[in-house]
Amino acid sequence: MKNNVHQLTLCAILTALALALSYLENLFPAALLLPLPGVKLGLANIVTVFALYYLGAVPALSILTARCLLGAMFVGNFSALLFSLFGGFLAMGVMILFHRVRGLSIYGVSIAGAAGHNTGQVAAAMVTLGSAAPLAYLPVLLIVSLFTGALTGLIAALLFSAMDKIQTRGVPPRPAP
Amino acid sequence: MNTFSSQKNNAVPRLRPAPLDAVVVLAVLVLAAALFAAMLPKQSGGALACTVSRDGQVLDTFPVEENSPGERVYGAYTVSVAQDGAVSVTAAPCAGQDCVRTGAVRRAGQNIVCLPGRFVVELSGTDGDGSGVDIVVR
Repeated sequence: MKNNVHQLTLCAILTALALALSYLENLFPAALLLPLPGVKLGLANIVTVFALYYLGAVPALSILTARCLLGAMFVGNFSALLFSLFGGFLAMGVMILFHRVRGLSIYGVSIAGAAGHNTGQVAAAMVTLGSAAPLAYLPVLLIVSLFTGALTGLIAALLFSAMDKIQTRGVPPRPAP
Repeated sequence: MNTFSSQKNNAVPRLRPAPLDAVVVLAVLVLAAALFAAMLPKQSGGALACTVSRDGQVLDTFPVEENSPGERVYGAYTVSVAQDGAVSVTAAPCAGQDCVRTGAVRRAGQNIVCLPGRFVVELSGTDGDGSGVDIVVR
C-alpha cells in the first residue's frame, strides 16, 4: 500500500465531513416540509457515495461505521445509533451492489441507496417500537427518497466533475508572496 | 476520467443520468405503490377502534365515534378525538413533535408514531372480523 497514510487521512477527513453534514442537516429539518418521522435530506450520503467510488467499498464502510458511532455519541442516545446503523448499512449494501452495474449512473446508485436507507430506518423503527405501524410510512418515504437520492447524486456528480477538472488542468499555482 | 486512473480497483462513476436509472426509479415507485395498496384499509366506514401503545405494550383501546369529542392523557401524551371522529396527538414530550405535526388520522390502518417515545396510536376497523358485528335491521 503506497498511499496508506494518504488514504487514512482522507478517510478521517471524510468522516468529519459526514458528521458535519449530518449536524448541518439538523439545522434545516426537512421534516418541516413533510412532517413524517425520518424525513431527511441525507446529506451525509454524499460522503458515502463519494467514498464508495473514490476509495472503494471497505474504506466507505469504515467511514460509515465511524460516522454512525460518533454521531450517536454526539446525540447521546442508543436508538439513534440503531437507526443510523440499520439505515446506513442497508444503503451501503445496496450501493455496493449497484455501483458495479455498468448501465447505472451515480444518480441511480444514489437513489437506490436513499431508498435502502429509508427502508432500513423503517425496519429499525419497527424493531424499537415492536410494532408494524411504521411500515405505513414506507411508501411516502420511498417517494421522498427519489428526490433526496437524486439531490445527493447531483451533488456527488458535481464533485466528481470538479475533481476531474482539477486533475486535467492542474491545481492553479499559488501566487508567490 | 483522470481522477480514477490511480484507483484501479474502483468503479468509475457515470456522471450523467443513464437509461438504466429509470429502472431504479420505476422499481422504487412500484415498491411504494405495492406497499401502499397492501396497506389500504379493507373497509372504510363502520366502527373504528383506536389502540394506544407504548414500548410495544397496549395501554388503551377505545372505540372512535363521531360526535363524541374528547381527550385522553397517557403520561406526557395527549390523544384527542375531534367532533368528526378524527384522532390526533395534541401533546408530546419530545423535541421533534413529529407526531403532533403528523395531524389527524381518520381511517382504519392509519397511525401516528412518536419514535423517541415509542408511542403508537393506531386506528383499526372493528367490523369485518366477524366478531362484535352489529346487525342493523330496518
